[in-house]
Amino acid sequence: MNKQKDFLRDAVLSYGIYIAFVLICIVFAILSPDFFSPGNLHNILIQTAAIAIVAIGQTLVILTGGIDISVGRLMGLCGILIGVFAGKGVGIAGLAAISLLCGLAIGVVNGYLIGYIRIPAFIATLGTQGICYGMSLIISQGMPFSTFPKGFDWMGTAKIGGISFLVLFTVVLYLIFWIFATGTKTGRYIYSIGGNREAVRLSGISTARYEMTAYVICGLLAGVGGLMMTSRLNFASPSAGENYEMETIAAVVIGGTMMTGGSGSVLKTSIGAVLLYVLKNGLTINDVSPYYQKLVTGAIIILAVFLDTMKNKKRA
Amino acid sequence: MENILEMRGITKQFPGVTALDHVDFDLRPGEVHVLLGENGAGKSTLIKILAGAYTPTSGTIAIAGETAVIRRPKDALELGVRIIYQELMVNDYISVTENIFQGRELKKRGFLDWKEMHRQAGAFLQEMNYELDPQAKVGSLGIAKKQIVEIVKAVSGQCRIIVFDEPTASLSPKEIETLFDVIRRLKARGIGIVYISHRMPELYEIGDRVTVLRDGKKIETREISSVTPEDLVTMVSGKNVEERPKECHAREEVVLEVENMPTVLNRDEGISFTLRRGEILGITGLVGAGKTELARSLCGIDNLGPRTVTVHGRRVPVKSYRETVKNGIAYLSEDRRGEGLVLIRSIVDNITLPSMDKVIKGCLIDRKAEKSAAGAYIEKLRIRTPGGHALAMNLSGGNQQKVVIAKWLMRDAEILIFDEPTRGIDVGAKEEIYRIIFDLAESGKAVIMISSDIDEIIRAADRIIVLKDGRKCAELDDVRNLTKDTILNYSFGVS
Repeated sequence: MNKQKDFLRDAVLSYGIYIAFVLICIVFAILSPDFFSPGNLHNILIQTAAIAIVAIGQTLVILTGGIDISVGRLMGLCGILIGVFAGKGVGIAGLAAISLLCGLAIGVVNGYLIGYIRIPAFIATLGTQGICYGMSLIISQGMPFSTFPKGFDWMGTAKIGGISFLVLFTVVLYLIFWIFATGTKTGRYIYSIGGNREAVRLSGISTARYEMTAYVICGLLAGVGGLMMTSRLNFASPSAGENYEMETIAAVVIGGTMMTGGSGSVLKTSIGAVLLYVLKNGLTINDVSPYYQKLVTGAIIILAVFLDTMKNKKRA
Repeated sequence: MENILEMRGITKQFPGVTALDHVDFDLRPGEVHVLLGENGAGKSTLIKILAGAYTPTSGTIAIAGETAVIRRPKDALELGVRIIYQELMVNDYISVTENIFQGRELKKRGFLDWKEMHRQAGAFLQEMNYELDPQAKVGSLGIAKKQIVEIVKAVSGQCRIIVFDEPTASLSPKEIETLFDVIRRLKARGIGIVYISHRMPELYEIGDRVTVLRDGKKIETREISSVTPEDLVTMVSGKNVEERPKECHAREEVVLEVENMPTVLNRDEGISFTLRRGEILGITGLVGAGKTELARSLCGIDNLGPRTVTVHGRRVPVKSYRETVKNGIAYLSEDRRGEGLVLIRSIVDNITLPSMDKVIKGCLIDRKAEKSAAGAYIEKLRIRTPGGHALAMNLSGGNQQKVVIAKWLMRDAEILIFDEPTRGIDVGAKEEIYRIIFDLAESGKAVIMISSDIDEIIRAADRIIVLKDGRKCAELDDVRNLTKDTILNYSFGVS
């Protein structure tokens, strides 16, 4: 009897967030028949994609025990740069390269400050967040961009075999970085640094280098995310990307990656991201005010971390 | 006079270890009672029980004649027990007064009464015959003054017993005099003082009685004036262990030459020694002698400016620990959980961490190769675990140490620096670790074994260096005819 109880408890703690996910979906489905339509589900995935891509990078950063709160504004800056250079007649490939380079550059700055100079990650990325937003405003003079080369919106809107290219692309990225995180030397070091930085250093490994790598990848993926976001909307505004860093962090945490680093999974982050957007979508199609959406999202984040903490307590 | 503290039959058992075995200890008001013993003899355990950090397995404590129940640090504080630890607990960012009154600030009409607090703090300092501005930020004060602040903080409340843990370790002779003056004033107020130190001369200067602990047992309590330093050393060391020293496998080839290596403790006058293939070089000394600091300096873990070591006859600069590892040197930290292992990762991950390049195929980790390579070490070193996938955190101390050793064997380290290799490891597993170290030496590795456990050093080392206050004070080649007292005499500076 007791054993059964323990088993149930373990199951709730280990899979609690998935159970919650399923329950939420069922409730939405009952409340609104449209929720489970293939069109709506597809739509949710398309909306999730850009955030989900950036959340991969955020996972790597959080696995090292850090955090990157610059990614949201960085996505916005990438969009603005795309808008500016589109106006100068740069082609689609060029625009993509600019977005990626911008992400890479900020990632390098973050990684250097945090890995080598040892500025606390929150502070360093708070700084670059401000810099990115400021640059967006200065470059755009506060005005949005809506003129892009013909076909620029392909990445964000095209379908291959009935499924969004953006969604397929995101899935491929998840698989690549899942293999990267679990199957390469750099991935292993990233996990280990989050587990015990000093032990990694005293294994003769340059922790600074691998910590920096995580931020560089995160910045680069923010560049990809910014590109996808701009392409899907065919619109770039200096206020775009606001709070997106919080959504990526929420996706990582809901996915079960520990904020202290060392433990977690890139793949599970995708579940966290989808759950976040299922909530948003379900509440919207049920005519719940956006004000309540924030509240519910906040509660889900706490629930996810609560379950994890209980699980770890039990283990200890 | 009635004893202010009576500890009777104090026993403390940790899993696998009896740290204290029916120890009696008493303290008279106005007395300085010295607590003496080797590292690991049980001094700190006894103090932690008095402070409420540990609860005894059995035994009773009475304070001022009344039975005291000390379960938490708060209980000890309320009974008037204060501990001045070696690591001072003052807050650098606030003033002397704020430190002294922390937690029991004076108030007037709901607001903090700074005027009165400064006045009282000044009075306390004056009582100790000590000049210090109560409004000064503690961070701006030297270590000696900080210590005084801590003492004043301790005695300004209701205080009956003060424990000093190595209070003079980082003080100059003049500062020690001032401290002793303060201690004498505390004595005059009838406070009972427990004094822990390894420095013989000062024990005779300040102490009234001495209690010697060894291996968790009380050996004797004596009036300090009735024992000679030589007697004390003998009491501390006990009978020499009848261990036949192991066979020496040292070969001619010198693998490491260290010349004038500075340490954090002693930047000017460095330490020099050589190490040969197959040799186990023991480095010992009391806490604070600079053993770990020496290892961290020569490995490039602490940054101390340009310096070199000669490895296999090749002079190489000490730049970073990463370079050191490339030269075939490994440091196995005394803090296995904090510096040796990634506890939340598997045993396999930990073993292969420094040697990832050996298990990489293309750009991916070859899991099979990794598992079998690590598995070979798990088997060879007999790491007891359900499997290589088990987390490092779930292993016992002895098995954790074996994982750390496996890490460096897989990395082909030729020179292994063990820092307190058996600290926190139970008796049975200790033997296993020694066996492994002996086998390593026999197979041609060079080993430096840092330990403050003198029995261990005599048992395992082929040659012994004794450090004191950051300097090499002895190098002893003839280990077979060495007694524990000889080493203790060097360590204590008793000639």
